[in-house]
Amino acid sequence: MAGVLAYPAAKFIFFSENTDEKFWISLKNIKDGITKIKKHNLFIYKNGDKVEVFNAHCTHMGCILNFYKEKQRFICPCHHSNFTIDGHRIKGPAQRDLDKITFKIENKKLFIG
Amino acid sequence: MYMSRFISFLTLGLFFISMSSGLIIVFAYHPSTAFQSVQSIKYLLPYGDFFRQLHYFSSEIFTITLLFHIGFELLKSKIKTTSSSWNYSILGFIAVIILMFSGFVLKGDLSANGAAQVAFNLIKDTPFLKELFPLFHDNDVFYYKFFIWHILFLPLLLGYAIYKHIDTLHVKIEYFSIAIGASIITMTIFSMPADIIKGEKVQSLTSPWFFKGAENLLLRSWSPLSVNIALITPFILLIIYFYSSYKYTIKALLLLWLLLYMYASVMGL
Repeated sequence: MAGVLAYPAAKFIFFSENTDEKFWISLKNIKDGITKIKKHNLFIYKNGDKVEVFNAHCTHMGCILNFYKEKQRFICPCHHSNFTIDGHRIKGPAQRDLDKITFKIENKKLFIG
Repeated sequence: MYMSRFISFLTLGLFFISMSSGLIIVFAYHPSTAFQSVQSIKYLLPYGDFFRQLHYFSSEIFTITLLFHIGFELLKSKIKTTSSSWNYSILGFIAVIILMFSGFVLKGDLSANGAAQVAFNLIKDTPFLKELFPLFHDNDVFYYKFFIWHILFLPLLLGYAIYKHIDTLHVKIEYFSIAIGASIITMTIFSMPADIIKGEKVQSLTSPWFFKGAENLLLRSWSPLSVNIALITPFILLIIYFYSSYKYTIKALLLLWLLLYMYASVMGL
């Protein structure tokens, strides 16, 4: 009896739902430079028409990065990995650049997800 | 010998103080608004700060006295326990470390968030352990699973492990008095780490003291797998200690691990 229930119970407990959200942001609210979207843990880099969206989690152990305007760098508060404003790794234990998020721009809106 | 018994009973006393104070503050803790509820306990509720600090410091001293208890038992030439009791002890020790870590995460501040992210990635990048990832990770209600583990599964597991570990339970009121006294004295001497609001820009985040060594290894670009191996090594050594005939070798390895981990924690490698 326990064996019969164990399988569905394990499937239920270990089920991992993909909760990647889709949302949009008006480009009018985004100034040139770096804008942090706290709710979704994203950084938006805008330079004129060029736009990039980065995951705000460090590619090393996943801590939320800080952006330092004066240094023009993202720095991880956990293990101090450094990234340039366009997401390239400079130093620290992270082994790769920041993760880019796919997006599209329509009617001056930034659709993410 | 007397010191060893004193530490054992004091550890048990601290366990009950930690559980009792936890039972009080859980009434005002809400996992969906973790940080706000912790601040409300600390600043708004009558005696909230006292009970939060009592829970924190009794748990911290409990972990330290537990480590001393293990040390004293290993110093003895003969193990005066059964294999079942020994195995439950190791299980209880693992439960204590996860309890301490989940308690750190449940305060819901920026350092808790960082520690949880690091732990998730350590689990996710390690074979076998990654299968356990859904048991801890929450997407929407971030602190809910940690909450369930912290207030239900782990205390039950630890309570059962202690019940199976001790031969006879001699509850002595003086040890509870000493445990409360030690917790209150520690509260007056030391202060709890400050809670950092999410979104605040801080240079460095702190992790629980027993993970400092692991954090410093990660800082030195050790892979998550090798850090996890370093973390589980003492538990494996303790499990095989009971059954092995090379007890002095295992004791020496445990001491070597302890010295290296302390070095990693304090010196930053």
